Amino acid sequence: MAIEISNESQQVLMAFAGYLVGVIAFGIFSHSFLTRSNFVKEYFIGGRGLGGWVLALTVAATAVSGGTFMGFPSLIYSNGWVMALWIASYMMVPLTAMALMGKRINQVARMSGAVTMPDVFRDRFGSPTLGIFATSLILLFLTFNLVAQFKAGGLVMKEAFQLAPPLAQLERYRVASDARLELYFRNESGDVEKSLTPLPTTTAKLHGEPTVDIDRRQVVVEYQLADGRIVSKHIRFPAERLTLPLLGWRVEKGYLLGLLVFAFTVVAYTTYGGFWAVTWTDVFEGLVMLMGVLLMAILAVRAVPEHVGSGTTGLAAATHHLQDQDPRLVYGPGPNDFLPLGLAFSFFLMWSVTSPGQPGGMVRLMSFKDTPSLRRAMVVVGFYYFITYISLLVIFICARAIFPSEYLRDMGSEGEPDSIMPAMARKIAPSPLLAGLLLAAPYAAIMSTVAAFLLLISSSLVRDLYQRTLRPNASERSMKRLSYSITALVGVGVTIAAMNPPTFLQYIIVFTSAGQGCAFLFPMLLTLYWRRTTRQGVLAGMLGGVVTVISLYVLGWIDNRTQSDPTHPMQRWLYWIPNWGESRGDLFAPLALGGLDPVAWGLLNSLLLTSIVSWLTPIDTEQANRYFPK
Amino acid sequence: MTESASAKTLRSARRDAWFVFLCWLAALGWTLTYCAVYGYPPEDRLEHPVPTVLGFPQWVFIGILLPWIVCSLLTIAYGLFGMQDNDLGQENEEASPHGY
Repeated sequence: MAIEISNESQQVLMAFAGYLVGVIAFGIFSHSFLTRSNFVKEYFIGGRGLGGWVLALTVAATAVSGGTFMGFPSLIYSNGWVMALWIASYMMVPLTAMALMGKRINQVARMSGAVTMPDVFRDRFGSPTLGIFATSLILLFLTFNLVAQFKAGGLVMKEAFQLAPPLAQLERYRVASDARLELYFRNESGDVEKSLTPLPTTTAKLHGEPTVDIDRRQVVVEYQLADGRIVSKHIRFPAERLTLPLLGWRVEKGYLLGLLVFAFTVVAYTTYGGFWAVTWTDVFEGLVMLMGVLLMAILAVRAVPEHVGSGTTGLAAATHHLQDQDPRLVYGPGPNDFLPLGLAFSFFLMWSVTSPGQPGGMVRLMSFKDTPSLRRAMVVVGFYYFITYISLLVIFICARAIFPSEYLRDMGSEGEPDSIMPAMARKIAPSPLLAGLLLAAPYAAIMSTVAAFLLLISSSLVRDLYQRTLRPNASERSMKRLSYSITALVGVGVTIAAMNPPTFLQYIIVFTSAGQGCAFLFPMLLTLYWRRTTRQGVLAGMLGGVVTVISLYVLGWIDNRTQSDPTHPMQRWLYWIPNWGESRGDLFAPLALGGLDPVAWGLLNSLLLTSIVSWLTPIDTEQANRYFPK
Repeated sequence: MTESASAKTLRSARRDAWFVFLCWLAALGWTLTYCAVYGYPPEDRLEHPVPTVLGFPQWVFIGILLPWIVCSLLTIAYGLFGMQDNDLGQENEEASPHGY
């Protein structure tokens, strides 16, 4: 397949290539650690030998994901300063994610010899059922999450490639009733392809005929806005699509290429190097991210034009520009009532309380070598999160000031907020090489999260299901082979799924994080600290948390789909549920019962069920005495 | 690891957990209360020039950035001076994989 890449993109790709070589080198280097002692312990938790710096950067890099660098910037760009409140609880995450149970989970894991999070439940209560149930939940949530993260990785790489679309002819166009412009192109093979693009505003009208720019392979469309202004929008010719053999899916060439490069790199180093490869690359990726955001923040603040009215420059000018564009961008709840106070409370819970409930984070806490390492890591993570999140806020507040939404298309984007991160990186970097380095930051964030999740899924299958349930006497050699094969197979499976991913990815990421937090946080916290906790209580807590979150998402989905038809049976049966029937921004937005996100209800139910059922069921005194010495 | 060392680690971990919980409660209370009072003005006040501190809207600076700085300093101070070093025990090689 022929690949046409511009000069600028070649330089961006060179920077990327340098980064990828670094990542692969760490993977190869890490493989040597696997021969030191017990293979399973080395492969899945690094033989409990993580020092302070490595622990800090691996915790930070795993938590900072594709959403942090793609979804979060787009939300800041669209909603302004209220996003500071949305993300505010990250101020507590270094403490909640590390100090809340770091010391104790590490101690319990050593006492029982646990290698995975389900191991802890299984050993603490002597219950294979608990271990298998926890493993099933991890598999369910992480597989969905991985598909979303792989898609994000493919999209960033696609931005780096920026393949030129093939030649085409504009056949016809029309404005559809949903305020979108439909353009019909005939490509070189004679097929007609439709391109849909939203109007700048719902009341905008087409101004004159669209002009075709063959050299840049785009159509220039002019719109007249309600206030009389004329704005233009550049719409690229449809991207080349390939049909996948056997599957028959039509996939965009740039995305497919990006996805394959991303998948090959991350699956290869994770499979080959195991936990050590993941943590060492996390260190490298964590530093790339930190440098990327710091550099970008400096460039962004310098790029803000002076605000004439107030005579300010830099960030202050950006704030005033935002107020001029829309006063709701500088105050809560933000445009379109984005963050009412009930949801602000929910999001404070979402980040600070669900972070320690993520299995990926718990495994890292089981892996550090001693308490001085944990203390040092807290210090580093405290700095890291502060710099990363405040920098991201500053960068994308400046982005909104520099590029008001109607001008976003000028950066080569079609005006979609999701592309603000790569678009901003390309625009403010003084050279394409530097733009490549800035683009490597979100790529590193996605890669580090994916590698951790990949290993978590593989450990669930190999350790929790195979070794501890099916074949307790499996030899070291067969465990080794199985670990490599399963990690690689899971990677290949997710790559195939990501070639045709669902479109509502942001909700999948939020849903899976909320689901895991609600399922695991309180059952684990009480398992570690409350002697009276029983296995029935833990099972009830996990079930309660998960069922609550899933139910509220399903109810939201049903309501969103049937709201337009008041005679629909669901509307007639379920109208009595609080907050039923209220308008939501997206088809997959959950039901916010009492104005609160499902995470708040999920956590509450999980806490209550774990505590109450534990009170009502008999305690296993022998196990309790073992883990709670007097 | 002796039983008393193990119990000491448990007590120390509980102390860490209480410290985290109290900090979390204080951060939640300050941030949400301050932002609710100063960051969510009525419609008729939206057009007034927004007061800024170092470029941040004042409600963001005092309601979010300031507690964030305090929390980061507390985390660092607790990591350096507050958290006790404890014996985490030896790896139980016999427990896995057969245990249960």
